[in-house]
Amino acid sequence: MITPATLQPIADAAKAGLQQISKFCIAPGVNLSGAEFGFPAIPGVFGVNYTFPPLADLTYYVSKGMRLIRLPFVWERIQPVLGGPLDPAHIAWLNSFITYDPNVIIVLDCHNMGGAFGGMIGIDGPTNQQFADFWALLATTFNAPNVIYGLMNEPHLSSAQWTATATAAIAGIRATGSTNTISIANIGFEVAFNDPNYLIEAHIYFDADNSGTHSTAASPTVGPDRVAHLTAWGRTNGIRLFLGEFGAANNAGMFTAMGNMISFMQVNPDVWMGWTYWSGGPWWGSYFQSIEPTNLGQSNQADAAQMTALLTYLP
Amino acid sequence: MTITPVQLQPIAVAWQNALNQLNTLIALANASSSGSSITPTGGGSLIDVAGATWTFGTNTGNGGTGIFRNGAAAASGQGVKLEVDVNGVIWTQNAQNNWYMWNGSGWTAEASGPTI
Repeated sequence: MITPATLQPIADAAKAGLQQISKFCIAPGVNLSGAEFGFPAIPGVFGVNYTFPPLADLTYYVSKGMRLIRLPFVWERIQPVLGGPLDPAHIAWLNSFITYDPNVIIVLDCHNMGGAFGGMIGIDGPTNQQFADFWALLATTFNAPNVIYGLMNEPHLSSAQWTATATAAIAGIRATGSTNTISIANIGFEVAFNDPNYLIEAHIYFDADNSGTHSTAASPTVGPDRVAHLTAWGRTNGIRLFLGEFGAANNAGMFTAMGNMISFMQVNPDVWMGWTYWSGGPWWGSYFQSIEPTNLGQSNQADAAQMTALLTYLP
Repeated sequence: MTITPVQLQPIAVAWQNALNQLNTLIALANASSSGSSITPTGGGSLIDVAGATWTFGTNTGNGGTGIFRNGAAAASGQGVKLEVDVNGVIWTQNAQNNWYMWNGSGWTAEASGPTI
């Protein structure tokens, strides 16, 4: 006679097996910060207000099994004149990452929060068309198949405005002939887009106000709780999801919450395509969620506690 | 020759679907059987497909007696009967003979009683 008690160990083993296989098909990764640093010094001075994470960073994270790298940058720095050419230094830096390994996926992350050149896009800043033209130029410049176009980090725009702005950018990218994946920020309102290859990008933190500024996890299951509705929506609508940001303070409660978040994605591989931890990069110093190793590249290089906690979830 | 993530993804999804079916089967087997019911006067408890325990409290109102899920009021629900449907989901019938189904966070009005 088959009973629930008979089947439960089989289900537990199946779950563990699914999580193992999902390590390989849900891309794990990290944000590498630096190029977006220095706000409000825009454009600021390279080496003073902002920097480019070095290839040594990429090598380190890839060596840990990560293969999805989100690279934040600032619009006014990569395109110093609205409508003008792209900055050669930014092009060289991004290309060095893109060409490192075709199996490593690079997410270009326009980290402008919805504003640029002194105003909000589509309102009192650049027009939607200028944003579309900017992304068309990026898509033309960075057209390798391992590049994902992350339209905008956490746009501080209404749902209607962001939908219109993102729609324009998608059209601009597709007009170039690009078929690359586009990552579109979810700003709390689940919106589907008319495009064959896009992701909805979520940012989840585990503190009480989902801000990523506190070191205490709201609960062990706060991550899955916060993405449950989005996950069901993605499944219903056939839309894939990308966890573009999450981070953890160095304590057991946070690491449990982080593990439960990743485990949740690993048992929902039909919708979740990947995740990038917030954050690594050379200038974080003592930032409480930094995953950057100490003494990178030196004989005394040491993993951050956050990396040690993540290793369980890496292939 | 290497195996790519793209090749593995459909296998993972098939695995996920099989696991979900297995978990549903186990949850249903652990739940009270379809058609099981309790009343405020008869007492007792029911277990749904999510593993939650359902009971009646002692507080009463227009709709009947207060309904408790895992010992806490279930979205202010009141009824005269709790019943488990064929999918292990809890329904309640209130004093006005109306049926409501538990939707995970609240009660959804239904035109008729549960399928058992």
